[in-house]
Amino acid sequence: MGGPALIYWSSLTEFLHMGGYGPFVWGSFLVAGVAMALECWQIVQSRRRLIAQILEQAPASGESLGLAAR
Amino acid sequence: MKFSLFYFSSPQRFYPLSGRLVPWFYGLAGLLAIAGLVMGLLVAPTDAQQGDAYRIIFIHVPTAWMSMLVYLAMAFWAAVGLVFGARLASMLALALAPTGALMTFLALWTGALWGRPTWGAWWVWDARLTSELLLLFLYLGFLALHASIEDPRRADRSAAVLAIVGAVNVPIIYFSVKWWNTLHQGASVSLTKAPSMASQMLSAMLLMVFAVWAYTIAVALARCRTLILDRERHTEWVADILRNDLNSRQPRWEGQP
Repeated sequence: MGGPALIYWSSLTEFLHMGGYGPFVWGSFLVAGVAMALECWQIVQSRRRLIAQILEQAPASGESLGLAAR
Repeated sequence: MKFSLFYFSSPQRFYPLSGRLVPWFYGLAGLLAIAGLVMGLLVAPTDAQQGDAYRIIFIHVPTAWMSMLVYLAMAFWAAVGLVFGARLASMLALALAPTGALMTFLALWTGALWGRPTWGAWWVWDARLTSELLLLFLYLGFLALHASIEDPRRADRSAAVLAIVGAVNVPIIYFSVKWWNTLHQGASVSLTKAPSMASQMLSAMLLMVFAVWAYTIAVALARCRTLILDRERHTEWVADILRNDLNSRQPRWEGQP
């Protein structure tokens, strides 16, 4: 790994091992990362679903949306 | 031109503004998180007492702080919505709740994973942990109550009362380590005394705190935009936005097989 002075670890194995606390440290950071990624994905999905629903649900307002014109 | 804070309190004006802000806050969150993770996991030395288990602090403290701050923000906007009948304020409160619940869950989860190696227990019923668990139930209660009432404005008002009453819990969480004997360590950083941490550890933690701040603002604004579209779906300006959206996407769709 890179500069010896900057990075605390001397090998990747040591880094992953986290002084014996690997499962606890990685279990914290990974779950947090995955949970936030899922939240972002859920927000995008619900927005898409809502827009599709609004467009679909309004046959009359499709006119007002200018959809029928195209 | 007179600048007015109330200018953006209309959903119609807030929608495009927040749309421009969201990518910036996502980007800021990403950059700060990368810097904080590099600093906290790669650069900062190990802790003399706790070994490398202490590194959980870099995700535990930011999410735990955020869980309380989001609640205060949620209760504040819910109160504004309740007292002044401001629709956008109620939508902001509702948009904050799921992220607050997530932050609370993560604070509890990372706390359990930190407690096990340092205290020898995943969970103890002490003041700090129990009041934080209560915070999770308050968020879930807010969301469940809101979801159970069909009329959105009535749901806003009922949930706001719950949010405001529940705000009492936040100072209880914060001061619990002072008021009661608890296993949980005291604050590592406070406004009144110098932090009891090495500078690399402190800067890593602050970077992660600001990353979580930026993340929370980004997702809350993004969620609020969906709520605005949903509630204003019958208005002309939403129709305009969806029409423009469709028209700008249409040529690309047609170009594809």
